[in-house]
Amino acid sequence: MNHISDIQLNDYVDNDLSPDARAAVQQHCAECAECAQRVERLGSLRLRLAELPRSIEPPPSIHAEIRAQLDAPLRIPVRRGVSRRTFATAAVVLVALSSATTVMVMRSMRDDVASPTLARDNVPGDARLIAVTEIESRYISAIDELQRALDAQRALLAPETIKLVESNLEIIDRAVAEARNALLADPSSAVLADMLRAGYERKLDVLRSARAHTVQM
Amino acid sequence: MEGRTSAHTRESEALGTLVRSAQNGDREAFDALYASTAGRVFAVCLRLCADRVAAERHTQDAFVTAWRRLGTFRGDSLFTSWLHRIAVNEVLQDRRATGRREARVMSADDDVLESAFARDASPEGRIDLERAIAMLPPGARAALVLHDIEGYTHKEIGDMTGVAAGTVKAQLHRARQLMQKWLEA
Repeated sequence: MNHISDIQLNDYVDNDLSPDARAAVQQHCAECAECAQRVERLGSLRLRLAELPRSIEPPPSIHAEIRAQLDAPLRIPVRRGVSRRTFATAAVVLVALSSATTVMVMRSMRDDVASPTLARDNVPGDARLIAVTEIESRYISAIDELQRALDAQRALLAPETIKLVESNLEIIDRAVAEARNALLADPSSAVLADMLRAGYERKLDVLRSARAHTVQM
Repeated sequence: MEGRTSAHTRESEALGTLVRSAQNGDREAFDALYASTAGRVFAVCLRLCADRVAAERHTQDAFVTAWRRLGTFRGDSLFTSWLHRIAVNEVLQDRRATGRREARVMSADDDVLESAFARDASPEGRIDLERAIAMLPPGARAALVLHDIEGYTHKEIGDMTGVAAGTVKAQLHRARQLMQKWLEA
């Protein structure tokens, strides 16, 4: 007598067999005590695993750690030591970025006035987030990746540079939050969409600049 | 059954409301989401890592990542599934990175680990279920935890771990075989 294979046995307890194959296993087990026992043992293990608690309470300190991380504008611990050159370069980069962003937003505002806007009434409630999420989906992972890369190279940045980058990111984050909330209230506004995009671009550029400094060092 | 379904619907609606508030920057809503979901996130991290300290770190990272990416959550899936996926990816990404680092210095693979675990597995003859899961080689453990406890399909696990569904299936069978051997010893 050919016993059922391990693959058949696992597929049987997982309910992955066709009706015919399943019936064949059942018929075999009716005549073979050894295979019937194998099915029972594996089925019992599956059941025990399925009954394990799906939730295990984490230690309370985790929540506090998460809050602390969310409160931190940028997770770059300060390194001892000063680099005037880096500080000066970062400041110039930030000023240039601010100007570029202003130009970008002003240009988009002109375009918005010149072109007809979408109808602002009757925007479905759930669709309101779409305007925001479409923009954010393009930036969030890139920002996240840069932040992680920066975290890994944090020791290479001087404290003044870190402070400058952090304070500018704070300003940008506030601007992004304002643009985001405004866009949620008025999802058809091209000006607000451009402002949100500009905010994210600016954040990306600041992070890229800071990252570039760590690479050059 | 109907009572359970409506309770489930109410719970989903409550989470949906919290998610929308959190997407608008409401930190208290995010804290409430944490309170509702942290247990499940920690459980899957702990079982996948078999290391309490690492599981705590991954749970933290998963929630920080979720907060940053909250704007991209569109509600096509359940929030709990979306969050769970983030947590699982945190663990698996770290495992891939750690695996690469360890591979350079000790060329450890599942076979080596399996025989090492087998030697220490069961001095008294019986071990409990959670301990047996923790002792599985990493690949087999991921397949077992994600399939038999969390309910993911072979294909979904393959997508997450970067291996073919057939490989996941083989790892799962091996994990069950080891579990049976240890638990019934």
